[in-house]
Amino acid sequence: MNTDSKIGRRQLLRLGGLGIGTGLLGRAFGQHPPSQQPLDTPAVPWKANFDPKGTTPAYPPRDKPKKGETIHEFEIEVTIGTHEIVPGVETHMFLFNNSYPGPEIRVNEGDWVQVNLKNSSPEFHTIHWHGIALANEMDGVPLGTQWPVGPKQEFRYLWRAQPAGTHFYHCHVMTTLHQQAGLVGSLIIEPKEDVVRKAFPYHREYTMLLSELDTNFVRDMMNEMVTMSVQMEAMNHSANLMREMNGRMMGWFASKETLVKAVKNGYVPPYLSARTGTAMPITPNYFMINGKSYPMTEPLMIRHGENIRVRLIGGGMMPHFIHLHGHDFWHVCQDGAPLASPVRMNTIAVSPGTTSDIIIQGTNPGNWHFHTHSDLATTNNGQHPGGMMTMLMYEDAKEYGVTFPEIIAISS
Amino acid sequence: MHDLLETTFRQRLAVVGLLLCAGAIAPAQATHSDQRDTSLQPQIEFAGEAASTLDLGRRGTFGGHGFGTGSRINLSDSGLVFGASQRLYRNEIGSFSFGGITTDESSAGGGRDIFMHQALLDYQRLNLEVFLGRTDTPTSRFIEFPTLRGDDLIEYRTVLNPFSNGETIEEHRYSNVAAVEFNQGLKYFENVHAQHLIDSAGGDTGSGINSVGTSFQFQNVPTLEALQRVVTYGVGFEHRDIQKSAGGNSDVIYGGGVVNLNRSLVNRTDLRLFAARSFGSDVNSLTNLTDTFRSDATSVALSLRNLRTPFGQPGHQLALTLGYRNYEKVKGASSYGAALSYSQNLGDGFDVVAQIVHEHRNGQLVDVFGRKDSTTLQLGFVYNFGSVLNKSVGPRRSPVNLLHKYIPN
Ligand SMILES: [Cu+2]
Repeated sequence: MNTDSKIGRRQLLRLGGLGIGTGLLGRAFGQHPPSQQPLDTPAVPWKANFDPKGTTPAYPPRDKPKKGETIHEFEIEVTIGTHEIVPGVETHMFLFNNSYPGPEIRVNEGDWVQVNLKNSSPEFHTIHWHGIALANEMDGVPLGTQWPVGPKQEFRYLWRAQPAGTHFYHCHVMTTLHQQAGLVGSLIIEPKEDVVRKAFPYHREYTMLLSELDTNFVRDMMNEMVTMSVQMEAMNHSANLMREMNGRMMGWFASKETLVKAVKNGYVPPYLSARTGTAMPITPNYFMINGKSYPMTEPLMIRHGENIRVRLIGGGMMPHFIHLHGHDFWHVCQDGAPLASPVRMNTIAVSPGTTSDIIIQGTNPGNWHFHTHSDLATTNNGQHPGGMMTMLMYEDAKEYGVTFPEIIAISS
Repeated sequence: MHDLLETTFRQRLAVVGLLLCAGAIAPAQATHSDQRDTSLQPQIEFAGEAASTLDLGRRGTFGGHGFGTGSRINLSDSGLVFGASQRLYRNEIGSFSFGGITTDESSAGGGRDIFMHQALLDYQRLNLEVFLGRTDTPTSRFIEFPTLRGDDLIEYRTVLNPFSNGETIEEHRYSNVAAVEFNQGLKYFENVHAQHLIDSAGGDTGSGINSVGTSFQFQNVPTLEALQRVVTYGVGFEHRDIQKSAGGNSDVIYGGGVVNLNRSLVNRTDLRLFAARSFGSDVNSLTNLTDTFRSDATSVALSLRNLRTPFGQPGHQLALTLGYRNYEKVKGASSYGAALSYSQNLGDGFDVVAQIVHEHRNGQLVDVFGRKDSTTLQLGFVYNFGSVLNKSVGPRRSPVNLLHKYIPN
């Protein structure tokens, strides 16, 4: 570990004072002699410590389980329910197993995973396994790789857990609504050999699924969805209504040519219908870590000298810039895969659809803010503080003489 | 105004929603808290309904009074409503709506151009709603009919205002109302109200309360009307306090409903019914319009509507509305009316419309209205629109709230 050298350098900076320190730094760069090397020969050769075939799945994705191989089975049910973001703010949502985010799925690399998706809501759903190299039919894209799973229907997903790392899963039906309205969860695949754990031995780890919610958009859209679903459900029980159902109602066409022909013949597709007015933009007003906004977010606990691993998941639609006070940390994995070399930083960008694993080292006892620096997202309906914010708390801070007021502030 | 398509219907609901579910900006008299947050804006709503038609032929509606009886360009019954709503501290909603509509006089270009039809403060929570101010009379908003304008065949479709002199037809549709409305599951509503019906006939009620009433109404889940057998039904009672010399008190019982004859998403046929019977008045001869509003009468309105909305195609609607009214204490006095209304959707909320209305009057009514028969052909456009700014207040009666757990969201 290079904790010592890090502290050493910091002490140097402190002795010199910030102003002088930066001054020196600038001068050092300025005095660097121009490179004498030809441009195509790097001064320090890039350590190409990677396998160009590394993205090839370790297990053939179209394999089927063989006798003797273990299959982990998970039951996941989708319902319409309510979720409380902060006290007094409740919203209707789609829920995986009555929870937002959905239950964390954690398996070992190479294990077989069977997920029995049961749809007990009036809407269509699928589950997309984000980042997993699986058989095409198991990818969970409605009308892309499978028919969407209708009300009261079940669908069995079966795939082998690969590649290792931090991933997530979400519904892929009308993602703007369904994922935002609750259908998202973390998916952790433990590697056979964890280089991160080797370099930074740790016992505790935390998953932080980052997401946002426009409560007004979700409310309006849920109402439209429920109306349409009730209509579809009614069709299932009426021959008359069933006859009225056709591709046009669903906006489904056999080919581009059929759509072109239909429009020529007077069909008004939804996007033309929508052109009759200005679209209402989605403007999130709640920003969450694991479904909760500050102050209801869970703190990360650490002790002096301890390493903790934090898995950050961009499970929403906005990029966030997660910043830790009082520490640098190591960025060790991106989208599940270990980086060629850990990168030191104090603020990490987490874009939608990406995951970043970081290692925080217990080097500075206290009670530290850990939050997005996208400041709009540290609010609850425009009120600061709130949103995507939590604390890194040292359990042994008092032993190091650190005292801090233990209060929850919901108003600045 | 008529409700053509689901979209138009939704726009209409938006207007009704505005009137009934909105929240208020604190006026000058309200308590100004020091904690008032200037960064928070109330929800602001605008909604409008516009109808403009070329009317050919003689119009029978209270003819000879108010607007003339020849062919004309008719822009009456076009209105704008502005509203503001807010969530209150305890999961309640407070709102204010304000609006005006054009009258028959507006088409003439003189007289009273705009009639203030909404100026309403509304308070609501899950099981209770209280509203105070100028708004639709409890009886006129009971059942909506699919005619071109809201005042077509008015003497059959609502309870008439016995204090009106007949010059402004809006006096039958709007009044000053104080109402408390209880509900069970946001589906069954019990309304108790007092109102000041506008007194243009020069009675002695001034601006005092001159009418009290109560009603019960069932309303099915909104947005799913196409699939429901029974969309709405209800009954009501109204007592009007009229001076002895003007015929004395008059009471009315009324009821109505909407049922789907053919439940369908693309080809729906529904039937509307409204019936009212007034009794207790001593008026037994009809010498002016006010007499026709006061004298004991039985009226029935019935409407059959076919709405076709093929998926991915603009919809159209054809409706036949029939009305009959008989005066119980005036021998031979009766009237009937019929309207055949067609509309073709051109865009979201925008329709081209055509309507033919025929009215026939018997007995003493012929002298009062100046003619026995009248027929009008109307051609024009109708536009329903609405917009919500600073969206933050959801409708209380949403499908999710009614079909799943209610939450004040
Ligand atoms: Cu879904």
